[in-house]
Amino acid sequence: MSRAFEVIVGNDRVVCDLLDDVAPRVATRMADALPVDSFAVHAKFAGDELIVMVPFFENPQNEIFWVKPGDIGYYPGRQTICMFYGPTEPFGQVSVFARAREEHLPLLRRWGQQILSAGSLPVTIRMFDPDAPTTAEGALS
Amino acid sequence: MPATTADLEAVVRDAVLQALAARGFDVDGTGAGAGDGHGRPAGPRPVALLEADAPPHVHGRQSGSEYCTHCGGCMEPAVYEAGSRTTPSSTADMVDRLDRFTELVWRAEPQDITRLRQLTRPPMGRMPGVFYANFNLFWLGENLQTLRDKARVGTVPVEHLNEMLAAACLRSAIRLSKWKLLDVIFLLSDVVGFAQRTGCASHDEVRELIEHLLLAVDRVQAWVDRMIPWHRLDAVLEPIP
Repeated sequence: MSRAFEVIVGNDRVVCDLLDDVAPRVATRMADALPVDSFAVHAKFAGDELIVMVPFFENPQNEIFWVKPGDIGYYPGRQTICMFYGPTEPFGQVSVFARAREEHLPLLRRWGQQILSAGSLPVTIRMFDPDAPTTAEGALS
Repeated sequence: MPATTADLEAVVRDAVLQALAARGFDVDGTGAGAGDGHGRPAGPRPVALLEADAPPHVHGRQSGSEYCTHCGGCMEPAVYEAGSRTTPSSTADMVDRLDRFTELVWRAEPQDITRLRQLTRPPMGRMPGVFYANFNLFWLGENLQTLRDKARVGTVPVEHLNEMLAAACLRSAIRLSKWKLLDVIFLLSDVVGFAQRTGCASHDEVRELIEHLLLAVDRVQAWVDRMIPWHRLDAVLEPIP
């Protein structure tokens, strides 16, 4: 069974499938580091990309320059994950280790626009459990 | 009479240098610390930066709390590892200390950043402190990445890597004192002390220590970067002809 994690902002979540077949080391390191509370900021010079720092250091694997919308990469230079949601002008390679589900790309785009107008968003990242409430839902229950 | 910004900067810088020198660290690049002639001090000394003048620095903190939870009921802002302590005796101990720092600064905005928000200097106010702190921390990370790469390859002797690590952290600590990032300075002074006094025993230990140090300082840099209104800057940036 494939593994997935979810990125939660308020009551919304984006599910990302781990690419255990092409980047097993980075994918496992990510899974082991969860859950994580952090914040997302926007890329400054690489196009439609959200950036979240994660608390682990891992060497590159499955490095890709020309990423696609939905690709999730790990960048060891800043210990961040990079979530690409639209056109990009790549500035370097990232270790693509996960992929956001197609139906959630509009939400990633919305978050990107929010950050571009406000500055940053608090996020929670955890392993995906379709039955688990989001942070906001949990607070209401 | 209230202290001026220049006074505070001088106090912080002098305190950093004096405390490091008192602990036997090489602060002038000559390697002439008090000790055994190899840059090692005669004995362990506690960290004691500024405690007489800055009460918050005697207060401790536990993860998840914005305030001191060490002395019970105290509402002083909490800071990183304020208690007196000795230099870590092993890389594992140093890594543990780095991880505790990272845990402290991960979720909530660190005290250093709160201080930075209040820092203003003539004639350009908050801008220089915020931007320079951001890029000083960024380049500390870049320099540490270079050292990590050297440690991975293993072509530079371990003792040289220890020396370069201490030098890079010391220079950054002094630089960051301008922006009052005191908790980061404490942390870097710990690394300086460890690298000069004990040191990593292997290339793998150097790599491991630097990876944990990167997480600590890059997290603080992320907090600085987060408060910069990047999304509005281009609209007001008009390059001078």
